[in-house]
Amino acid sequence: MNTSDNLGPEPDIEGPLRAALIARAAHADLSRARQVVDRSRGQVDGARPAASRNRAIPAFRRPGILLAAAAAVAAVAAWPVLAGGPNETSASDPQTTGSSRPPVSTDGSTDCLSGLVVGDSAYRLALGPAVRTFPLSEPVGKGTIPTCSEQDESLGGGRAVVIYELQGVPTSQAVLVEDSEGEGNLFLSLDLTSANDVAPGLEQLLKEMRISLPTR
Amino acid sequence: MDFDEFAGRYVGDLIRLGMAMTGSQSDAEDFAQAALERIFSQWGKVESAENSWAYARRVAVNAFLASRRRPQVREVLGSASSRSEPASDPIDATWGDGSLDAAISRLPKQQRAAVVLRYFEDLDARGVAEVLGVEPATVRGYLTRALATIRSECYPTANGAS
Repeated sequence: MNTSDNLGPEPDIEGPLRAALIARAAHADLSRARQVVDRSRGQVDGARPAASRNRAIPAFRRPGILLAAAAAVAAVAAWPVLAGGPNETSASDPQTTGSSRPPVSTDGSTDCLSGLVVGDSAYRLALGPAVRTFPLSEPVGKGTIPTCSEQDESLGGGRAVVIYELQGVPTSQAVLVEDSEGEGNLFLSLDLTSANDVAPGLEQLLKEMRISLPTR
Repeated sequence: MDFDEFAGRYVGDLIRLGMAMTGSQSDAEDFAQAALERIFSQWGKVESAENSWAYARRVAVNAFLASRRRPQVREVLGSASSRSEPASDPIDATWGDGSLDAAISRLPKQQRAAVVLRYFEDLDARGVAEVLGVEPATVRGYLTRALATIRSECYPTANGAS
């Protein structure tokens, strides 16, 4: 060990620290290393545009998913827990005011949803004039945006995504889908006003997107 | 050596470095993937580098420092059958209640990177400074603060630390 350059003020913590880091690395699962390499090639070969965390994932613009997302936002606005729940911030929140846009573009030609990941731990969603903030959970699932056509591929199909729960909202009713590079995000849910029909619909949508959810 | 050969040779090292840096399998894979993307995009430089692993490590660490990933996010699932996830806290087995591991994860990124490069990659101050693109004195500052933080969190009553 190289300790001759007097970096640490005291030696007592260095040994355990070194052991802890090595233990971390020793737990690395390399079974998917090949996939990591392949994904890195895919990401680069895709020649995607410059990153923007607040940009929805382009592949989500496909009509079926856009429709689901549009329905979702309308439903969210109507759902009392989301629209007026105790954990939400007001539209006057200085961090969100000015950054909110209508969450759905009506013509589908631009970002289909607009939200803002805030402070790396919360999702801020514009709902008409109001802005609601939902703390994010740890990841609850992951998957891959399907590639159905050459166009999809050029728009980002094949990219890995991670999903998060919006805390206080059941996973069966709403999730945040974010590509694994943190470059796009999409709030997904279905008709929250008819709870009985929600879970299968959302699960089907996620299944289509090859996103796994925890077993409930 | 072409990119595929390079990636095949070093992806494991990158994932391990990512694990040391993040403590999370999924974040470690993201760490490696981000690094490989950057390496691929500047392959000419990497190919001609005298020490290709040193170059890859520098690219990886800087990609990590530039990222906006969530702190302390741990992978929860994925396909359970396809994973061999470690215990919920990988350091538990070797370090009591895992407080040291948690303390590492809470360090600011620059300090954490310096700690990992110093104590995992075993670089001296100059080596760490080269990777981070800062002066050795800055590295010493990062390490001093990081160790003080860890000491105060893990040994609140030891050595007069508070």
